[in-house]
Amino acid sequence: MRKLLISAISSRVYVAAIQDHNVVFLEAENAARTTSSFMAKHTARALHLMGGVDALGVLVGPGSWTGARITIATAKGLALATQCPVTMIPTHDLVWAGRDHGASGRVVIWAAEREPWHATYQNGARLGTVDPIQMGTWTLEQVTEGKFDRKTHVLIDVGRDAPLLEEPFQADLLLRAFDIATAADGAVGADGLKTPFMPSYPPKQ
Amino acid sequence: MSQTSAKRQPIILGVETACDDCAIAIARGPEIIAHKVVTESLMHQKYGGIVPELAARQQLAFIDRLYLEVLEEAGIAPDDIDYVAVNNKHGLIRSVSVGVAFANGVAAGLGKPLISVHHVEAHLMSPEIGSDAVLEPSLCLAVAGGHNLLVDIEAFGKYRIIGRTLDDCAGEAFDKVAIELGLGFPGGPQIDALSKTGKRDAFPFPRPMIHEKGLNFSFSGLKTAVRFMVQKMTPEAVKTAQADLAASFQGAIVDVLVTKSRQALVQTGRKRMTVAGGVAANSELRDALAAMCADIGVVFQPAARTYCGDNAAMVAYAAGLLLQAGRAEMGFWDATPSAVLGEYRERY
Repeated sequence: MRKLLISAISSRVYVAAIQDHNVVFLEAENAARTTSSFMAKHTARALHLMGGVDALGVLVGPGSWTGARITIATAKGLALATQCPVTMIPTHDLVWAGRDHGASGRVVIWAAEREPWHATYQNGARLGTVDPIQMGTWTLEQVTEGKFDRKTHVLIDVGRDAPLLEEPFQADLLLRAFDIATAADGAVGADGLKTPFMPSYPPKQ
Repeated sequence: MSQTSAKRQPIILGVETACDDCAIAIARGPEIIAHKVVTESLMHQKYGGIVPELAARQQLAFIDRLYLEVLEEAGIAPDDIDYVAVNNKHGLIRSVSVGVAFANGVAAGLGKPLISVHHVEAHLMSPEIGSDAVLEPSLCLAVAGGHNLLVDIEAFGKYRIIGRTLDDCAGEAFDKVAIELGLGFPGGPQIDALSKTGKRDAFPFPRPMIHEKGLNFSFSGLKTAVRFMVQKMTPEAVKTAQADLAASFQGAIVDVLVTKSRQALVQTGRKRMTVAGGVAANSELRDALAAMCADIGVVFQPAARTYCGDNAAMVAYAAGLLLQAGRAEMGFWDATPSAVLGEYRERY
């Protein structure tokens, strides 16, 4: 099984290739304005190295809106060209995969001002989909305190200004997130690739 | 463009997302075998213009479906594609970056070269699509919502910008005036249609810079003049005079564009003129330029209407010319939306 994982939702661009559970390729860089060419160049190298690809994993956010857009557009092109299924990996899965918090917990991430999304985890698996938290006029703290019991659940709030992850992260972290997302949501084709966490336009006040 | 030898012509996939359009095309050498454009004008209408963020989101939503439709229409499989080409050099950065990333993905996945194309160069070459003639030195009026240029074309790749707008582009003025007249967005086609029933001398709108010796344009004053005129009128009077207002405004724009084009032809001595860009689809402008060219013995070659607005056919076509000329830049690209144009590295 040859897997290609790409991400630009954080401050770095990542291209990782995994073949039969072994990381065979990882390139990461703080690419900024060269995100698109960096991702494509190393994707081409990884494909050449593996002689093709059987599954794509794409970080779809919440995170950098521009990075998510570039990643998803690249993945659409790749998926169409390689006829490969794609797993959309929410940042929640990456955050959970990178922490050792015990059996269960929740991750809450802001996609934008007043637009938090949450997911629940148990025994290393995500339970259900990543869903928006309807805030109304409440503050996030009021909402989360009402929704989640901090005595029984670990709650990770990732605010807009808080660092999303400790970078650089390793390919096995991406792979764990890929496995969580694939188990929870399955894979899609290019036409199923979306930007689920893009903030509302015009922004919510 | 001259016909090449009998060897197999390269199949080129073109991708264009400069502004609010999302376009994909397939060319076999100089021949366009399929092309499609999707525009979400209604979405932008409520904002009175293009919202870059929304445009990019829509392009991302449409682009894969468009790719599949165009391949089906062309009757080719992805593996048949020899080159991918994309405009990465002009437009709204969010929009351009969607097309560039998609093209990067297709090229990386297929293992095919990706050619960088300049949006304006593609427009400049769009009147040549379907023409078997060798490209002759020409004057091109490239007129749209995002550029308004008079370009002296010595040869393919050798462009000198001899006139440009100092403020608004003609296409932008059409859109803004259409909103003033309650016609919605985009304004060009609606003003064109309405003008056919109006009087072009009903309102004495200014012809900015028409008597200046230089070849530059300015349309912001004309736009403001229409606005002030509308503000002086009651809504009912505007509605009644809508066709006359449209015709008078369009007449002013056409007079300026044609007069400056004529001056440029005299100045450069070119015996061939082309017109390209979204505003090149305007009927009055096409007729007036044809008449002016006939009057002074200049060959007139407008872009086919289907290739006037932003489209990927012109990108695929220009990529073919770049390959032929041996100056195709290949690699993986980023959006660099104010890149220089041609061998003379013109900026605008």
